[in-house]
Amino acid sequence: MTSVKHAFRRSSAISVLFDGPAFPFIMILPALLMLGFVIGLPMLEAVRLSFDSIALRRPAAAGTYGVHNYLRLVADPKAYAALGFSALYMVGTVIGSVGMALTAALLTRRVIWFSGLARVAFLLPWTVPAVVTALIWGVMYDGNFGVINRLLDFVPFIDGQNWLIERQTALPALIVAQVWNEFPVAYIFFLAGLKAIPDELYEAARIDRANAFQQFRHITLPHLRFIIAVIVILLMIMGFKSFPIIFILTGGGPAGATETLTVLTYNAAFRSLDFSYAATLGILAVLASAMLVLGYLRLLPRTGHGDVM
Amino acid sequence: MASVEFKSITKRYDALDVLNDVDISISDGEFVVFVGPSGCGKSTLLRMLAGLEPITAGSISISSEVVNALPPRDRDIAMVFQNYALYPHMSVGHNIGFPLRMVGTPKPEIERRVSEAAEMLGLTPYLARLPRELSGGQRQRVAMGRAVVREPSVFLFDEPLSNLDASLRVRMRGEIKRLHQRLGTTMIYVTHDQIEAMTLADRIVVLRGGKVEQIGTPLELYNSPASPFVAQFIGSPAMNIFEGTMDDECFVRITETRIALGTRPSGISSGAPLLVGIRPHDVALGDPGRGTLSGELQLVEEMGNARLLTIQVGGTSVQIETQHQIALLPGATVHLTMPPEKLHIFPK
Ligand SMILES: Nc1ncnc2c1ncn2[C@@H]1O[C@H](COP(=O)(O)OP(=O)(O)OP(=O)(O)O)[C@@H](O)[C@H]1O
Ligand SMILES: [Mg+2]
Repeated sequence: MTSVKHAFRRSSAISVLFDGPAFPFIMILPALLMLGFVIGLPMLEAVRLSFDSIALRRPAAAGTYGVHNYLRLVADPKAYAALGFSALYMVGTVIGSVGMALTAALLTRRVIWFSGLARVAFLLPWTVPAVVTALIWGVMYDGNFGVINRLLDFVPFIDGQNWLIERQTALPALIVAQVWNEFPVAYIFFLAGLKAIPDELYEAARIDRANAFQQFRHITLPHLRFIIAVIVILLMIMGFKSFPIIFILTGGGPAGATETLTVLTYNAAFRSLDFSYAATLGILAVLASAMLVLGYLRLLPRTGHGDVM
Repeated sequence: MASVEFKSITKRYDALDVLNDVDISISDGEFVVFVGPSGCGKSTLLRMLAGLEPITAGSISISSEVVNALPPRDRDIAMVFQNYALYPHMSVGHNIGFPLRMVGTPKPEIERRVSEAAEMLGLTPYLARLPRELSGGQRQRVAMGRAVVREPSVFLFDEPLSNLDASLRVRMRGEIKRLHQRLGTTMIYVTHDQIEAMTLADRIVVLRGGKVEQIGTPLELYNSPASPFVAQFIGSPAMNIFEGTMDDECFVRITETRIALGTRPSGISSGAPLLVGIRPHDVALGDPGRGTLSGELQLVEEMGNARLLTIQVGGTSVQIETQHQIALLPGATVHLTMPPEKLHIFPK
């Protein structure tokens, strides 16, 4: 054995690389570099752009670096409003999607007949591209011909609206369309989470005189806590980033009432053609959503007694 | 406290008949054990009483009130599950107090009753722990605590000890028995372990293939089993069963030997085939002679206080238990005497 090992011994420099503690890191180095390149480079470019002055209406200013875009941002009332709309949109879609997904998951978990069909029905909206979702809801919301107003004709005391044109209804209307499109993501997670809860716990709870609501409150919810926490983060980011539904349905209107950060960024880049200011708004969006997610994580209780996970 | 009555209970899953026309009547304060081989429907019967399983036909009453349509919460029963079914995210204290919290019992009273139950079961030091931080025996006690704290009118146990090791099982068995003596509440206990059944029960219900095979006190089942199945199920080592034919008058023929019976069994005509049972400790080794069976000794198992011999008699393998020292080697021919009064005769 020893002699064989001896015969194949590598030169000492190579053996340090391959046999030493650095070996695992050397193995993943190419992947790390690749990831760093793919993820890091566009970010760095966005940061660089936000300090530059690339605006097609003032081409001469290009190459002037400084904090002027950030100064402008701090003084821009539209940016504050957009931040508020994005946050509202995010909160609305998270609450709507979690509520919708949880309801759907609870409804379909025990169905025996056509269970596949029921699940597919709830997953279907997810397969619809956001652009198509926007078109579908645009037609449904239409003040004159939309199916929503037609249905409301049968409901006393609630009048039809120009949903996307009224200031008060535009943002909620967008949120409903977004929820319809994205809640299936949460739905499949919840369905999987529900399946993992042993039936025996519900049987014990029934024997222990818990009613349906108490079973939900004391068995289901505690077991789903971790999944809900993860889903909320996912939905927060999705909500903050969403663009196509808003852009197609209202374009930020009426009169800026739905102009979220993403729409404002788009307008800055492709209407005003001020790419550097758009990049600055983009940086604001990243920082704001990161802070919201971190803030949410702080709100979650630490793992310990009373936790499932 | 309450009596329990199963009347013509039938349970069907699709085409599968799980229970067939089961009648059992349990009086107030009784400790009844359902015993039988795996899959005979013991758990199903218990779960129907608990309200976890719908009843296909028949009726179940608790304290003379038909409960078929009542949900579990209105039946005033507590149940201990085989895998305990503790709430994994709640502390021991919260697990035990759960049934009280669900009906809005005032907090001070919950605390008092939980600490009483914990005291009784030796769980006081563990009240703040989570179930996963407990040993199997401690979890089992928590499950019992959750049942005890309610002061229900009937306790149901579904193989509560089957996940414990042998010595702990014996200890917990004793604790359950003491619990019954102390509370005097009706208890129904499911097991497939006949020793558990014998030691715990006031009365045993032997189930087989979804039917009641026999109901009786442990001694009744042991001394006068109604069928070869019960005879072999109750008692350890199991009763020996020989195939034989009824001879004239008071003899039964096993292989070539005529064995005397004490009295002629009624309803069996001469020449009819029958089964003859005898418990291993009732068979004695003897000298060759009239009325003894001879066979070949195959195995001697030492048990300390006794020896267990396996003997091949004709086509039947027979076990006998003897207090005497044995100097015989496997292969030797031995002669068995069977006292007539110890024989159990079953028509075939
Ligand atoms: N949900 C179900 N669907 C179909 N068949 C079932 C169902 N539950 C139980 N069975 C069948 O009913 C029969 C009785 O089951 P049960 O659980 O009552 O047996 P058991 O006597 O408790 O057995 P064990 O000692 O193994 O626990 C079994 O044959 C089982 O396969
Ligand atoms: Mg069972």
